[in-house]
Amino acid sequence: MTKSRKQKQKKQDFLRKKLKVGKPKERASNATDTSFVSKTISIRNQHLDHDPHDLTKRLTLLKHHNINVRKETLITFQKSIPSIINSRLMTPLLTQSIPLICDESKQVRQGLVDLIDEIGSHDAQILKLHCNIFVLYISMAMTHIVSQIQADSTKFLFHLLKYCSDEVVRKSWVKLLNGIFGVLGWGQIGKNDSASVVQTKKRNAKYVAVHLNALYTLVEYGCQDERARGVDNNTTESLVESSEFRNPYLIPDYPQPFEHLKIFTRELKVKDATTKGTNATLLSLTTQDIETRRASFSEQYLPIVRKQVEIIIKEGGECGKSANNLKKLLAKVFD
Amino acid sequence: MGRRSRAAMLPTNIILLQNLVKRDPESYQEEFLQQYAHYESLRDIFMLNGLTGSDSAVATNGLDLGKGSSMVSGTNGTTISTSTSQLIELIGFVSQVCSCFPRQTANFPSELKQLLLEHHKALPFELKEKILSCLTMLRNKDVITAEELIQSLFPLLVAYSSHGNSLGANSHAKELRKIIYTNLISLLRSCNTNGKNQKLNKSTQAVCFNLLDKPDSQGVWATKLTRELWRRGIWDDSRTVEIMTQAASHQDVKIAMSGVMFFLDADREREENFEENSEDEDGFDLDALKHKMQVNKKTGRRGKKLENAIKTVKKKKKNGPGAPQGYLNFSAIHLLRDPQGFAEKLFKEHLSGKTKNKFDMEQKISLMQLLSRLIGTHKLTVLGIYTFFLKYLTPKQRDVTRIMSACAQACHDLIPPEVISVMVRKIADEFVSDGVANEVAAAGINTIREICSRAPLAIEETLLQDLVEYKGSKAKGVNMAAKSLIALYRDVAPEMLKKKDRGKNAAMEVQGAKREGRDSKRPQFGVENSVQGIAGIELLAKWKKEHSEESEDEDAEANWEVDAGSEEGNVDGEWVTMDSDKEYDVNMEDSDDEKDNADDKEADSDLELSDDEKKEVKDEQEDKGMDSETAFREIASTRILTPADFAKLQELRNEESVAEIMGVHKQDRREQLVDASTLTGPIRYKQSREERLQKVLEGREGRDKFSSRRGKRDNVRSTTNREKERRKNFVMSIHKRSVRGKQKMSLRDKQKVLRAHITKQKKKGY
Repeated sequence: MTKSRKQKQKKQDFLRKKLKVGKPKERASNATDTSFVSKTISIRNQHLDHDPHDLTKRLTLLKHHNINVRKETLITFQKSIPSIINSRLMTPLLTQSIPLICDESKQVRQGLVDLIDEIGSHDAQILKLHCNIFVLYISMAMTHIVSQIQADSTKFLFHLLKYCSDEVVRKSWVKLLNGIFGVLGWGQIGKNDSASVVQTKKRNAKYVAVHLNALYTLVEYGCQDERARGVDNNTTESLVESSEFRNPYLIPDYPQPFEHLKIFTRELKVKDATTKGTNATLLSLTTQDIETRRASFSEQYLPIVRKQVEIIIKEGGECGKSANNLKKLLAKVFD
Repeated sequence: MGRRSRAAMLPTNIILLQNLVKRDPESYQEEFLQQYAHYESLRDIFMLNGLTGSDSAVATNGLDLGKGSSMVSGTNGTTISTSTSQLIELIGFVSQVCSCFPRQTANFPSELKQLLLEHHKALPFELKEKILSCLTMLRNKDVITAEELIQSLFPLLVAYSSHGNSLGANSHAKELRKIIYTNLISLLRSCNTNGKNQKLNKSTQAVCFNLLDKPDSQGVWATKLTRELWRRGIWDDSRTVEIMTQAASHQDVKIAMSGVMFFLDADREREENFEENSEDEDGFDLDALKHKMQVNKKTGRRGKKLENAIKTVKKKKKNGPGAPQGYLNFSAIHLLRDPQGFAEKLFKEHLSGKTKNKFDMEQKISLMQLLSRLIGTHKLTVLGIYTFFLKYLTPKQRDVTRIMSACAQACHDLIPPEVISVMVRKIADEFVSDGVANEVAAAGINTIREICSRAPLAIEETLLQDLVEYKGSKAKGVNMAAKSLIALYRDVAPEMLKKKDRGKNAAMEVQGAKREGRDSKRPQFGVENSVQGIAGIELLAKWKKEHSEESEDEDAEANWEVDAGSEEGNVDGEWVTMDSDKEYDVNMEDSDDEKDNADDKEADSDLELSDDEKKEVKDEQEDKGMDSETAFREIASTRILTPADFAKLQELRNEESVAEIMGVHKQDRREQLVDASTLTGPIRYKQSREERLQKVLEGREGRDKFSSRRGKRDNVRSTTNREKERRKNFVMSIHKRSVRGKQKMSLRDKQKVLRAHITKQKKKGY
């Protein structure tokens, strides 16, 4: 019956300690002391003060499911553009907001146009940096299946051309022309108009005018040389630019001048160009200088434009006016 | 007007547009081109964003942790998912309708392939899945060829099977492998349904060969694919087998083992597969249907039913029973191109070389089994293997019965006896002695019997006679094993047995041979027992003789037995049971180990030369006296054998071999396998308590318990007041006032109470 001391001790280990009121809990034998003493404590990665004006937090709201939130966010950014125009926030802001070109809501799209305008009026260079992705999304919007988005796409193009026309026409001349033709419903294949265009032609006279204006500016910047256009420009500046044009052997002053060679871009290879239509060969064409652009336009698009413009002029109205402008420009540039 | 509105219908989503384009591709060409352009711009955006997205996010994360860049990267992920879902939708659309516009979309399949092959690491899983299914769809629409599809599937399969190839945790490698693998299988199956597509098969097999050429473990896919296709009977030629031989002799253990297991199991698997298939088919009786058509009223519906049935039956016949068209039923081992080289290579590289230790015991046993099966089937000479076996032939060795069965299979009559006899001696020494357990001894003797049945000269006379002594063993397994050894040698070389063991027939034969001074028929190494003249002619001669004896009363019998059926067959049956009685019994004992004591006794009596056979002695002497030579002379010289005679001959020979085949009906006789589980003979271990209890309980099933039903209610409740009252102690209730008062009641009151009681009872209805 008598248990040895050792056995009793062993048993003690497995007994539950009774808790008593008013006395602190006994510490476990293997507890580790974690207290330390220091003069200051600094905690990283933790912002104790939440800045209500921290705009980075609002970037995610551009993807909010609610239309109003998206719109409000765009407006907020637009208001704060003057203060952040030179901060590092601009790149994420643009990469996040450009996809809104294909947003379903008209208000959001309008808000985006305003934002772009605001940015462009402050610093056009920023828009130029993101020109590539802009063009990609605009061309995506031009072929979008929802006709409202399609109709608004030229508006973006128009505003983009205001600020970085040179970049745009240099990099994606053919692509954008194709896109505008698609939006206008001027089929390049035959008499078969696309069904949606046939149906909406009458209704969207207002949009047609916008499209025509966009086309007008595109052709103006693409095919007309600087001197003809820059009448009101500073004379010295135009002289410098024209001297550049005269001397094509100098390295041009715009950023990434050799991008069109596509040395470092990631692209899928075309199996063999011969199987594709002329469209593809045109797309692969680089349109760096004005002569190429002009040649390609007059060769591929000019007849169609002239024919269609005549029709629209006859219909008259606002569209007729813009069409007439375009006709005059074409006459000035190509005749 | 309705047509007009249909034509001008405005598609508002991709699916609707897809429907419209499919119906009328020409009218909707513009729309299609627009969407194709949309696809192109989406793809470009994806190339710009999606592929670099992850990298840039990581980079910015590394750069500044403090800033809210982690949040930016998180949102980046959501952009990928939305644009990806659009891209997925469009890819599906274009691949659905691109057969309508082959000129405009000429580049589309190759773009998909490039995306998949070059950027598969950066693509999200859903997109990869979609591209795979679209490529398969394009193959089905004949936009791309099967070869192209396979060329894009295989590299992916290889890429996703390697471990740690910088595949992220989110790469869904397993799912992708599964998708690709099932795609491959279904592709090859669909290409081979109507006749074999040899070109595709060859190119795929070439890919498999290439995979196996590399030293890494990618070849597993080749073996897996090949095995699956073999199982389905899609690939069944020697090239396929060649792939597996290459796999079996691969350095990588996994691949080598998959090759080995293919040769061991694949044929059985294939058979099972086809059996299942044939079971699946709902069998209906065509004859019954036809009969019904004749008997029942003739209606159009029934006629159609019959026609359909005939059609399906014809289709089935064309395709064979569950197997694809033109399917060859050769086992893999028989299709080997160079069995000797293969066996030697396997032995040298995997079992005896320096690298032999990379296989564990289980794998080594599989290798031994394959090697021995190869040697047995093709009668190869790989002499090293017999001494190799020696190491493993000890009773303590794990899975020793499997090794022993491999030993037995590796023997055949073209191996020099002295090579095998070493092995036999070792088995006898290790396994067969008085000191070992019964089943060990039984396994030893059984193995020796199996070896000797393949190579009778492998055992010396003295050793054989020693082993035969175990026939008196008390243990049943050992006893039976020893007797089967005796039976074998009675058949093969009775001279090697002691006189008393030879048995009646064998002894007489030996004596007869001695008397006539002929050399005995003892087998010799290298002398083939090939057939001269016509095989089985002596059987025919004997049958003729008996037939003529019976023919006297045959005429009478024939007359009244004509209706009953073919009298000839009747006679045959009789003849077989009488003549081959003894042999048949012996073999039964040999093959069937699970007999009871009764059977055992029967076998005993058989061995002791049963007296019943005395009356047959004369007959048999005649039979034995006539060997094939004399029979040949007798029959072939006297008459011309008619086709009917040959048919009869075939029948007789079949019957003679029935007893031999008894145990191994279904197996290919060239590949007779030794079943490892039967080597030890029947073993009965003492049952544990649980087992005994279980058996007892089994007997009690469905029986009620033996006990009285008294006091047990059928539904559980407490006792009622009435019951309590009734059971109450008499002495307690006698003193109650209510009871006592009854005695003191006046007569009139008693009457009243009685009357009231009666009326109450009446009202109740009693």
